Amino acid sequence: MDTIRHLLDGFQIALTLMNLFYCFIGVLWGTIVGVLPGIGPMGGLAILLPMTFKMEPTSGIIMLAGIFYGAMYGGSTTSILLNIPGEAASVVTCIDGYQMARKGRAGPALVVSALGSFVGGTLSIVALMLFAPPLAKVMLKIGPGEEFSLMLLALIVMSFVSRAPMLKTLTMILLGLLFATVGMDPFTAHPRFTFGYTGFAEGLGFISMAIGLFGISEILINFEEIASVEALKPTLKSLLPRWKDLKDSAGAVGRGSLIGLVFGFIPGAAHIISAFVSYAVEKKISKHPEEFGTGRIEAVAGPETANNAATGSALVPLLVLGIPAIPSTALLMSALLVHNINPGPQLIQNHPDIFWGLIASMYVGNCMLVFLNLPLVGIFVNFLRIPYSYLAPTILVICIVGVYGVSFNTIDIAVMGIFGIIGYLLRKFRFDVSTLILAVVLGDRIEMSFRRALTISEGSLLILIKSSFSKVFVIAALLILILQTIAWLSGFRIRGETGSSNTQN
Amino acid sequence: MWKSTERKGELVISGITFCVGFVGILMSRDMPKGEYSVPGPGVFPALLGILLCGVSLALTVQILFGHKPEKKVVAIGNRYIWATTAAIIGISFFFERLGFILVMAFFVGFLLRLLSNLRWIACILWAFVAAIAAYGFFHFLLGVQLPSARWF
Repeated sequence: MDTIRHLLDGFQIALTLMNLFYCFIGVLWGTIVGVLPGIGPMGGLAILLPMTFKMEPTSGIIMLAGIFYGAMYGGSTTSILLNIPGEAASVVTCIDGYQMARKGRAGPALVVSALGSFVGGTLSIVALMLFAPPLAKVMLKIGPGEEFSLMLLALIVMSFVSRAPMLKTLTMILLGLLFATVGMDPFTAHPRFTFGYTGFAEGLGFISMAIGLFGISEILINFEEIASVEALKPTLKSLLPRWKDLKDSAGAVGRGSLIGLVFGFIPGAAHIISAFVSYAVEKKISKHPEEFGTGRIEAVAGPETANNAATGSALVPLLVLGIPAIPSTALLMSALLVHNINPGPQLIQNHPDIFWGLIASMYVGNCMLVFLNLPLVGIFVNFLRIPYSYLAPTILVICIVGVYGVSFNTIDIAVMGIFGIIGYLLRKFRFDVSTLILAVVLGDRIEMSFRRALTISEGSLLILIKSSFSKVFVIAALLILILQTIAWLSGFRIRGETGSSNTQN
Repeated sequence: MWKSTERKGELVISGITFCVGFVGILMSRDMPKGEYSVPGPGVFPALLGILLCGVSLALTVQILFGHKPEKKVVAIGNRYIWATTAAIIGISFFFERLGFILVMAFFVGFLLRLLSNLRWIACILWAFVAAIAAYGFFHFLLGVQLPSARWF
């Protein structure tokens, strides 16, 4: 009862005209920055952060939170339309979402993605509201050992999900992990593989690599047959999902919500891991797993739902413990600190208006996002009408600006170009670039958690399987590995054939 | 446009990844390894290098001795692809020297001429319009700090 009462108080705060206005600005801005590859939620938050210094703290945090979860909505748009992941968790959406767009089904993909995001986002807010303190206790139990075993599970799931043969996938995973070591060592600041160039001190840059491997390579592949690349002419009917699409997605949305909520408590990589696990689950239970990678709607609905379901959980460490688990929440934290509000265990008691106002505004913002994004589907899909000889230069300019805007380093543009040609060649010979980029994303965290775990345990590897969480993750990883090895040795293929003409591989 | 069999291309890529792993092992030799309980920065890259070399070797063996019923020929690259890639990499050299508008105008103009049937003058005009519009959108509206030329 207390929770309901607090929530109603929160709605009283969130539904004032001023806060509704700021919430709308936040979600609109978040959608725009999510759509534009490279700029992302961090860039969007950083641009509007100074504006919040003169605002009421509740209004400021409502606007910034709107940007944060709005960007999750927007990130799927470029993944589906252009095969350019708006942010890390949208990489999975590229796999089938883009194939749907190529078949003239961009509209249903975008609509289902928006609806799934709404469901996932709403459930995550409910979880945040009801379970924030106990969730925080669970998060405190996730130490480096548990994190390492979870990342290992994620890597093995990746190899299961990929359409490429196992050895090719493993090669890409290991290559991605090695690329992730470029830059300054996070513990000792020792330069690794920088060749003396300070521009590589912060690594190769995930955004440059992702845009290169996906977006630029896709453009280069299309340039092979530029004369025959036709602009799509979507009709109103083709914008809307069919009844079958909604039926097929319903189960995926439900499962994705659960997966996002369960994995959302993993600090840091929750969005990425939950999206990936959702994809793997949908592929595993599908009656047509061989069609994954060619444009299955469940493969869009599930991961996008899981991704957004993990959003609320990402705020739990910040609000309840005062620990920003991901960089975007660090900016939210700075907005609170500027107003002398300390996020942490005392926030709910000392500033209930901020906590409950934020929760209520997230409900409101989530509704705004679905009403904003659904009508925009028609506008987004109509971008595909533009002849490719004009569309390609536009996309390239946006990519270049997006990549440059991350750290204002021109070497990132060159990295993007080089990885574009690398991605092109890898895809021509059926290597899976999505596993490479996902290994890059997880690489840092895997190494850090491994080294921290060994330091804490003074060299004992048992820390990696000591806790119940670790045991579950390791057993799951071993089971998948054993099943795959048996299938490989016996000549059966768990994954679909690689003989299709799908350019994703 | 180059042509290669799929098998040859896969062998080249597995060879390259083997070399990348090998370079990783060589370079990590000079990195501190720390102690067993406090691994240094050189441990993880060395481990990954060894694993990458091993997997690349296994992949090479699989490609060489695995059964491929047909020799699929893959066409690689054309002038659009190489020109565009070179242009993107070239931008990184001139971006801050010449400024966003000039560099983007040349880049877009070059691509329009390469990909479409527009005449040079139309390409250049449209390119400058697009570059100025992009500068206005990103620099003023979105607040992304874009470089102006060094002599401005």
